[in-house]
Amino acid sequence: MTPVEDTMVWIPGGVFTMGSDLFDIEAPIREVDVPGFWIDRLPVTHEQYYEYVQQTGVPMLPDWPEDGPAAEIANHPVERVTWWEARDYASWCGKRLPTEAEWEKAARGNDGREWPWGDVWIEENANVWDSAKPLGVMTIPNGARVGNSSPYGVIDLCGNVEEWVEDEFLPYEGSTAELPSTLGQCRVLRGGSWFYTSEMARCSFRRGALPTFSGYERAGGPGFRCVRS
Amino acid sequence: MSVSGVDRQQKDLTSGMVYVPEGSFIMGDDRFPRESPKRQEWTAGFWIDRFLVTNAEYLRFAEATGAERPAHWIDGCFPDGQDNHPAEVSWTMADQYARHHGKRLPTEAEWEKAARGVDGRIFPWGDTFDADRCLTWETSAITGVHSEPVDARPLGVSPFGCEQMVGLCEEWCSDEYSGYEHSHHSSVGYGVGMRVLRGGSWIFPMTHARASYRCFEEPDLDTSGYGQLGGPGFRCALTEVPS
Repeated sequence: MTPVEDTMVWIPGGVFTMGSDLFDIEAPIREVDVPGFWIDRLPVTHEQYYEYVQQTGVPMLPDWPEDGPAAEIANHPVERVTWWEARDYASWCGKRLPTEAEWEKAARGNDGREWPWGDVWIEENANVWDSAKPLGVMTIPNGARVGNSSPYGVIDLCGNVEEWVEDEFLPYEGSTAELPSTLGQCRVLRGGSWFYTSEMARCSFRRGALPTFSGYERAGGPGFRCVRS
Repeated sequence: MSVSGVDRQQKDLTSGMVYVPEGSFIMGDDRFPRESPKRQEWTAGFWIDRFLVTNAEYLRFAEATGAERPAHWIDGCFPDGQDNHPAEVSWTMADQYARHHGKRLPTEAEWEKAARGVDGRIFPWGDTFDADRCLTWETSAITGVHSEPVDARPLGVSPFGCEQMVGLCEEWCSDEYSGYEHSHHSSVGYGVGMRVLRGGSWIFPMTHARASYRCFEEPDLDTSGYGQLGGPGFRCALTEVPS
């Protein structure tokens, strides 16, 4: 069996700065204590998800041809997965989805930075609409942007595909955000994607989608990575 | 043409439009690299459509001129009951529509001024996001509603009287997408022929529904296969006719 260190990164326990005051839904900025955990260094790929489909007989993904994902995208992060599907995959691996706090801590460490690499936006570091559209790409291979690394060495949290986390989409405690209460039916997506501009790829950005949401043809959809306590 | 003739012509042209007087306004937002710097910009006075151009209006134009129809329409027509929903088209089609009517697409600065007035507010109605005043992902995520009438959000009205400036569908501006003067930010998308989109849409959250938010697409965007995704819409502007 592959040693856990090869594919996962240890995030030590302790407090970190969570949230942002840029948008009501990300506020307030506060200290959150997160016990130590392991997180996948990279998002789950098409190849990995297809192997799971073949072994378990769960449904194929919306954009795949009948014989599975094209070889050219085998090492791209899987996309158009529902929250339920992501969760089932994680259990099958003996893992689980990260909580929102775990995801954000893995992305920004404990200094409250805006991007995984620091406080200044660097377009070359992440695959988002700003560059994806002019370069004519949608998803790109995992790890293709060398600067897209967090303080702990977790790769590609920002851009490429949005990632499901475990939590329901609710305003944080102490938030003044006024949103439809029905949004609590949603689960949280983190990290933005090739289809969205850089503002949505910030470490603290969050939005919700129904757990049955799998995105749209021509706009892509959620992927995920797993954690272990 | 007599003075009264000019008046009459302008009155016909400007029906359904609001007037934005000349002067400066606060443009941009320093918190976001693509929107910075925040500064005073001046525009001449101009007229701009109160509402987005609708499906029914675009269809009339296409029937009269033989102009291209949105590629995602089925059998050359929009879905039943959506007469009063925004026409979702390419930049080229929007530009042709505007010219045919003796108008033009708004510049990015005009669009932003029409959306936020002169005081630098974040949203057309103020500084706090309100999901009831615009159709964004905060609503669509639950309801699955991706389109609605152009006059469905009177409470989302801007200081100059424009409705549905943010949310529902993105809106084409005349400008090529490029970095603002005095911006320190660079992008591979600047200056390569993309056109500016403003206002966000049902598919984007509140981040994109800000009056200073900028996005872009290729001018000949092909919306075939877009189905429920829809495409950008537009409204027209008009330089003040001197009287």
